[in-house]
Amino acid sequence: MTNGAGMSVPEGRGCNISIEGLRKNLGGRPVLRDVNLNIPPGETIGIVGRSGCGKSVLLKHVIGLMWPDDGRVLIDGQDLGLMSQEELYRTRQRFGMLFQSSALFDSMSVAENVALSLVHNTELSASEVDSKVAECLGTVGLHGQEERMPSELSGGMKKRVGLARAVAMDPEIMLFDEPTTGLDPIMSAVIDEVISELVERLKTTAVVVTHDMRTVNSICHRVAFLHRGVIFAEGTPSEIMNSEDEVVAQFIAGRADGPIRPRL
Amino acid sequence: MKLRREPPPIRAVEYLGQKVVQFFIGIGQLVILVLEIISRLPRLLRRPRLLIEQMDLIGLRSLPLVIFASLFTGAVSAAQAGYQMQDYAPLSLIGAAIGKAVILELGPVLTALIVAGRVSTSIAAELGTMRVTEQIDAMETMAIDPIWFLAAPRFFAGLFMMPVLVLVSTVVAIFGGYIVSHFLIDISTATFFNGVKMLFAMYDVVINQTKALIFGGIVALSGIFFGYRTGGGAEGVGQATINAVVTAAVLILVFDYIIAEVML
Repeated sequence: MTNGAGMSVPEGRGCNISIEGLRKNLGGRPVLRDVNLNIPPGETIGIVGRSGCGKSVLLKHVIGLMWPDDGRVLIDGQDLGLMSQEELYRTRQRFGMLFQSSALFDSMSVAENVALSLVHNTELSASEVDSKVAECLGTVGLHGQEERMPSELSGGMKKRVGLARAVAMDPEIMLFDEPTTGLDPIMSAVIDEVISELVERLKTTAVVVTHDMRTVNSICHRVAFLHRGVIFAEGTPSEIMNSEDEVVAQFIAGRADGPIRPRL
Repeated sequence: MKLRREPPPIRAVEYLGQKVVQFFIGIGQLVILVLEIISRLPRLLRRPRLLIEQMDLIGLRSLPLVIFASLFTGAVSAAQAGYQMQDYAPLSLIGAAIGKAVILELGPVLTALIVAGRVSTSIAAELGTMRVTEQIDAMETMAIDPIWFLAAPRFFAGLFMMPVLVLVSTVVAIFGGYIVSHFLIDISTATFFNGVKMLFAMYDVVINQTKALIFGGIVALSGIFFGYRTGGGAEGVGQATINAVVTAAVLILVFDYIIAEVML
């Protein structure tokens, strides 16, 4: 199977995500102007772009946390915007999402965080839930941390608990919002490795929102560069890294001078 | 240094108009929230653990505060009544005056105001923090309905527990009045309770419990409504907490008057 960039991607059990003509204004300012993107099953795509360019807004549209002013998001051909609440929740059971802030439930222990979805969305017995929680925590290297509270964890550990929680339901689509932001380079590499392993093992479709090009290089099949509310460029990580387009090249090189004029 | 700019006079009408529109949008959102919460009741009753937890947090844990405050409310009522009546009416009527005032007015209103200070604020702060730290979004992505999981248990716990708290408060306040009447004003036990019985009517208890039920809904709903729509980080959570308790207090007094007009 090939992706939008003509690159071969592994056959996945994941879903096809199709974003068509997406527009979104926030506070009277257009954030997404006309986003079109097709993500075939099993592909890991990186969405990159400057801070505040709308990457996270785009990701939230993919799972129905935000609704477009115009355009649509299709999951395996089904329009999210036309689903009933029950259908939407059923579709969301196929997703796993890691938030930038990890978004762990701070009144619940690590085990309760990971178990929550299993307890409420499956018919698993208590012992089956416990063993699934232990398995998920083991996958992210946090075996034996079940009873700790989120406030007792470091940033890297929180991200890994967030990952364990995201994979608890064996999702077909995984969404990662800035998975390595705020982490030191070593912990970033660890998180990248864990994400790579999980995506490969579960054979999911994955969308990674980041501005960390190292993350993109290590886990993505394809990269889409979001700029001024549209997908400005897309291609394999090496194509984007070696792009001769001045805008893309300025972003990749991280230069202050160039066609992108940051407002101070 | 001037931190906030006042709206220029030419835009004052526009500003006022926006506030009016926002008010009516808020009313609409409140009505939708109430309907959504009510629609979750059957599911909540099928898995009552969430409701029982909140009944404990909102109801039982408010009990010591309510008992303490009610005891002194009754005591000060007796002291005031004794002082006011000493030259104009027989002191044997203190029991009657306290019984009537506590059952119809002081029990429900003071309990509701005290519980609003404890519960509306705590609900608004908890849900507000969950909103700004993306925990509610995380719940949505895990296909767990936050209205069912967070809002409905708090609303129905407030609705079910306030009548219990008001009943306890009423009994304790009358007891507090008796203590002062008996030991400081030198009224016999029989005289005091004969006075309470003299003006007692079962319909007064109906009014007492009707007020309690409505105030319970107001207290919980203010916390849920302002917590649920919090935005803007820590400042937003603080503002939501203030809005919740102020709105609850104002609505308690407004509905106290409406119920009195309708039922008396």
